[in-house]
Parts: sequence; C-alpha cells; structure tokens
Amino acid sequence: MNWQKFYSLEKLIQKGRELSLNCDVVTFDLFDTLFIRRIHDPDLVKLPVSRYISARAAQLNSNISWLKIQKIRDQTERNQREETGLTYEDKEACYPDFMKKTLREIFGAQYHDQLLDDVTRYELEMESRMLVPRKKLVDWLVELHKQGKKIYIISDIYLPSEHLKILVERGGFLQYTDDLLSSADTFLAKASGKAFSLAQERFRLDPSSWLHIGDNPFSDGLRPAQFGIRSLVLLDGSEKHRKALVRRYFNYSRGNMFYRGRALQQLMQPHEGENIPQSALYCEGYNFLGPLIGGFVQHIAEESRRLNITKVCFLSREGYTFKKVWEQITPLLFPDKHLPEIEYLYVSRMALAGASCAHKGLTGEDVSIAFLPPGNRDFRDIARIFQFDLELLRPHLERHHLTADTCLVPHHEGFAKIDRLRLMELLEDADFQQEVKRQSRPSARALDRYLESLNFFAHEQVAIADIGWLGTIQRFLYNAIGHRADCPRLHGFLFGATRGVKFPEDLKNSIQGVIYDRDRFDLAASTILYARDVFEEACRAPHPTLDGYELTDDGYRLKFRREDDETGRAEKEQDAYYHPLQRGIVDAAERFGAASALLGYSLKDYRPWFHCMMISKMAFPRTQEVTVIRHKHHLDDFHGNHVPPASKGKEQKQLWNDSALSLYCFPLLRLRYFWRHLKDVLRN
Amino acid sequence: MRRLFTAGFDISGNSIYRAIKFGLLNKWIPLGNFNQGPGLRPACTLLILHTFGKPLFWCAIRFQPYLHQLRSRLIRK
Repeated sequence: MNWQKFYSLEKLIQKGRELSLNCDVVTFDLFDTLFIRRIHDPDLVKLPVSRYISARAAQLNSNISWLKIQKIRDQTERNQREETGLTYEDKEACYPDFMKKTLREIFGAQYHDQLLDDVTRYELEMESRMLVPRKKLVDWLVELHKQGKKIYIISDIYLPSEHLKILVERGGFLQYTDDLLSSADTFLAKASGKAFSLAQERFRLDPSSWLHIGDNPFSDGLRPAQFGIRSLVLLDGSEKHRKALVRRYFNYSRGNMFYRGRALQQLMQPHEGENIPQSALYCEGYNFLGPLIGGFVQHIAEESRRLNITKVCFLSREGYTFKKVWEQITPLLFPDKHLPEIEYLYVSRMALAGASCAHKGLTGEDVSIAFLPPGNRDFRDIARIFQFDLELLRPHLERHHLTADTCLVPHHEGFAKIDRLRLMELLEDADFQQEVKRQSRPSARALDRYLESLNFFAHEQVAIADIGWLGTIQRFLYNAIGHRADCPRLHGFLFGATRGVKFPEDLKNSIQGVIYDRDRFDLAASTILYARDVFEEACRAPHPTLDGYELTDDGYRLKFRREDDETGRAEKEQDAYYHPLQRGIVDAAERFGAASALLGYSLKDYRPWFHCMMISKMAFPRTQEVTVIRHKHHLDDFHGNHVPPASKGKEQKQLWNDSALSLYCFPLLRLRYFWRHLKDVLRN
Repeated sequence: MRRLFTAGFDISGNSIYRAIKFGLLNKWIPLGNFNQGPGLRPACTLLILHTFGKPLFWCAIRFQPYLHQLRSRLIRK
C-alpha cells in the first residue's frame, strides 16, 4: 500500500522525515492539515459575510435579510457546481465567479466591482481569523524547505490560489512554499485525482520522488496512491474531540441563551502555537475581563449606530483600554464602516471639578459628591477638589461662621448640624458664588479650547464611555459645557453605574450602566461592586491622571499629576503589575471581534453567561484568584487624608480585602458575604 | 504559568464544571439571571466530553468504520 494512516501528528512527521530522504517534492493539503479551523463547520464563515452584504444593501436602501442572501449564495454556488460537473469530473466552484453572480442578483444595476472586492476582503479576513497554522506541521514544512525540497500546497476549495496565498501569508509560511494549486482555478480536484496529474504537468514532478500529506483518506490517501505517490494521512482524534465540543457549544447556544457567551469564549480560545503558558494575570485578563469589556464595547458600537452617534469619547484613564478594544473588534463586527469617530479624552474628576463651577457655581450636589469619600471632612477638602484659592474664599466663610477646618461631615469627629446648615447658606450666598465662578473661569475656558481642538462641538450626538460609577466626570463635563448652544447631546455609557448621587438627566445628558446599572435589578451583575477598584486598575492607562486644564496665551495646556512622589511611584508599580492583565484583555479583543461576528450575537445574548462568570469570579472566587487580581495601591486624589474615628466611620469588611488565610480556611465566608451583598442590593 | 485552553479544551479558570456548579447552586440560592441555566442534558454531555473526550475520541477515530456500521445496524433495528 502506497499510503498510510496516522493517528498522531508526531508519528506522521517521524515517518514523513524518513520518507522525505528519498523525495524531492512534498505536497501538503491546506485545510485541516496545515491549517486547523477554530470552528467545526467552515460554512459558518459565510454567515457574517451575508450579514455584511445585507448591511451594504441597506446602505443602498435595499432591505434584504442576511438569511435570504445566504440562500441566494448557496443556490448560486450549487448551480456553478452542477455546471462544472457537466464538463469536469469534479463538481467544483470558484468564489469570484459565484460571488459576482450572487452580488449581481442582489444589487442589480447598483452592482460595481468594488463591492466584490470589499466582500472578498471581508470573507478572507474572517476566514483567516478562523484559521490557525498547525505548528508542528508548519515547522516540519520549514525544515523540508531548508533541506531544499520543493514544497507545494494542493487544496480542494472554492477559493482560488490567489486567495489561498493571502491566507497562507497570514499563516506565516508562504515564503517556504514554492506554489499553490486550488481546484477553484482549474476545476481539477484531488477528489478525482486530476489535481495530481495537473501538478505533475505544471511543475514537472516525478511521482516516485513525491510525498503527499493530507487529512482525507480518499482525496489525500487513495487518489495519490493510485497515481504512484507516497502519501501520509493524518486522522487526528484530538481535533475531532475539539470540534465535537465547539459543535455542541454552537448548537446549544442556538436554543439556550446560557451557552451563547460560552460558545463565544470557546471560539476565542487560542490553539497550537498561540496556546503558550501565560501568567495567571494574563489568563484572568483573557478569560474573564476580556469578554466582559468586549461585550461592553460592542454594546456601545451598536447603540452608536442606532442613535446616530457620530463621536465616541473614551474618558481617561480607563477609556484607554476600551479604545484599544474598540479598535480591535469593530472592523470585524461592523465591516460596513458605519461607525462614529473615536477620541481618547483627557479628563478626570479633579480636572473637571473646577471647570464645572464656572457657570453654575458650587452646588449642593457638588458638595455631596465631594463628601462621599470618607477621607473628606471640611471646606479645605472642597477647595482641594474644586481647585479654589482658599485664602480668597476665607472672608465668605467667615461671614457664615465657618472656617476651612470646620467639620462638615457627620462621620467625622467634631461635626455639628448647624455647620452643615451654614454651608448650605454659604452656597446660596451670591458673593461667594461670584468668587467661585471667577476662580473657575480660566479652567473652564481652557477646557473649552481643548474640546474645540478636538472638534467636539461639531457633533450633535456624542457618546461618553467610562468605567463608572456615579457618572461624576460626565456630570462635571456637562456642567462645564452645557451652557453652550452647540453643546452636543451626551449619551453616557458606563461599564457599571452605581448611581450613589442622583444623576441630573435631561434631554441633552443621560447615562446608562451597560454591564451593571443600579436602576436595573441584576443581582449577578451587581457583584462587580465586590471589587470595583480591580476593574479600574485593570483598564487604567499607563499615564498619570490629569490635574487640570491651564489657560495659555495660544490655547490650553493639559496639566498631569507628578509621577516622582510616593503615590506616583506606587501607581507606576501597580501599572507594571497589571500589564499582563491588560495585555490579556487586548489580545482577547482581537478574537472577540471575529468570534462575535461569526456568532452574530450581542451583549444581551452573552449576559446569562457573563452573569455566571461574574458570580463565580467576583462573589465566589478561588483564593488564588483574589490574591492575584486584587490591587495593591489605588490612587484617588478625590479622597482626602482624614480618617474617621473607628466608632463612626467603620467601613464594612469586604471579601476581596480579606486575608488569603481566611479565604482559604473558611469556604463558607463567601456565602456569608454574598448573603450580606444580597440584602444590600435588595435594600437599595 | 498556565495555558488558556486546557488539555480537555476547557477554559482555564472558568471551566464548564464551575459553570454547571453555579448553575445548580442557582436552583437553591438566588445568584442571578442565568436564563435557562446549563440544562441537564447539555451539562452532562459537555462534562463527559471535556472529562473523558480524549479516550473517547482516541477510540472513535480508530474504530470509525466499525462504529459507523454498528450505528447503522442499530438504526435499522
């Protein structure tokens, strides 16, 4: 027998090495041999392409569903195969031919060749995202090439060799290949054996010194053997196992929403050379935070398209990661490019707090926000946050019998109710507000100039994407620019909205929590409250926070916080620690886009799985997960340095702050914390 | 250091076993909206495939023709 079956890749390569000593030529099958597919069914790649064609048709005011497009494509391909069968032994099809016919049928007179190019580009992009080079086999191919053997790739597929070259190039082994043959070019396939005679003629090959490697016992085993070629066929049980799992996840996801997120993650997984050992933090970024952030960003993109939003501003510093994720996922999810422009906006609560007082003055809500952190207690803290010159405000305070150090917060020592009433009176004092506005004006003007330089006011609908939690940055931003006639409508998208202080929603300003929103009862999603800082640290940009906007003669200057003090150094150390986690998130985004485009699902489909994931990771984490992910330092300039007395301001103990020993020794501890959390959520 | 994808093609740190465990726990304690949850049949199938898939497919790929024959005989009966 001239062909042999192998159940292990290592054994096939070992035998191949032996046989190749007497061979000058080695030919390889491409799909399921040199490349493996992430999906079980290669036809699934056609679905996002149909969705893309449907979106392009919609742009030309032609409403045709993607399902109908898929039907037309299948029928056109089938017709071509029948036609080819009349002349040739193999019923082969050629992608550019049948796709051109499909597009002509759908678009009629509106068809143009650029459309075919765009569709082909997207199909190849999706195809290449679903292909992974089989590392050991490709390494052997490179080895054979270095030995001076002729290497050819022969494939039975509807894609012509020009397209296959693109896929092989992306796989990284085109330079080691002498040429490619595709059945789509000549309609001569391996299945009939004609492809082998074609290769012999074209490349002048001698069958006696020819070795063929493939995965199909018939086309890659029997047929070349009949032609006198030695062939080795790989029957890979492990691949069959993997594909059986993908098939089940995919099929279950159609009927049971719980598996949609899981199917997404299964398709996102790395294979072969991609699946290298990684640090625990990278794994958490890739397998836990990556899908959550991907879902969040996909939701923003979908809402932007629905609401005709023309600009998305990702707020510093967490927006840094969101923007990176957006750049990775949107080209695959929305290939019609009907997307808003994006911007990374340098903002912070501290920088905007001052600017927000230039028109409305200091409001009661501003004071409430300033006194939310337990470390703030007096007017000195207010002046620090809103960047007021305390000396100039002192006469106004004195007029209301207040000093900079008068305690204004109940959970600190020395609080008297009368002082809080005096503070309220102070806020109603016109002279005081006049001075506040005067001091805030330069900062507000600098902010205006900064936003003008970004063309912010040229848009009517702008999305603001931030991690959370109260929407304070958007509140301050709107307070600072809301007076302008050209102020755009602000749509806030927060990863999690805790809404501790009521957000002042109006027709031009709104927020919604995407993963978690306190206004929407969602127990599982509320577990992000267990460790909000973790999400912030995981997404934070590696640059210091913004301290303020400074007016200069020729415009504005962004003033960043210094990095050389103790806090700055701690933050740098923290950034370095979380770097693998961020890398995991961005790497996951690349595969999230392709997987989500292929499945055609949205965040609402992924939610049940995300809920399960959040419960298991946030409320019932393993001890090792907590010790690895939890932050060491969390800088927040908003917080003052005052420490409330233990009797008054005792903070509740949190699961994620508990010691590793108690987490390890008391498994029921998680249940106790969850019970408390459940009561808190119901109470709120 | 660990791989993202385990030898049983499960997600490292977020295995199907863990998901099924919380799916079951959700029947007794309110954990959140898991929609239908994992479901008994899919959960069992996936657990078996992830855990015993390797030896199962080791056999399946070697005895594929015989298994096919057996299957068609059973279907005919």
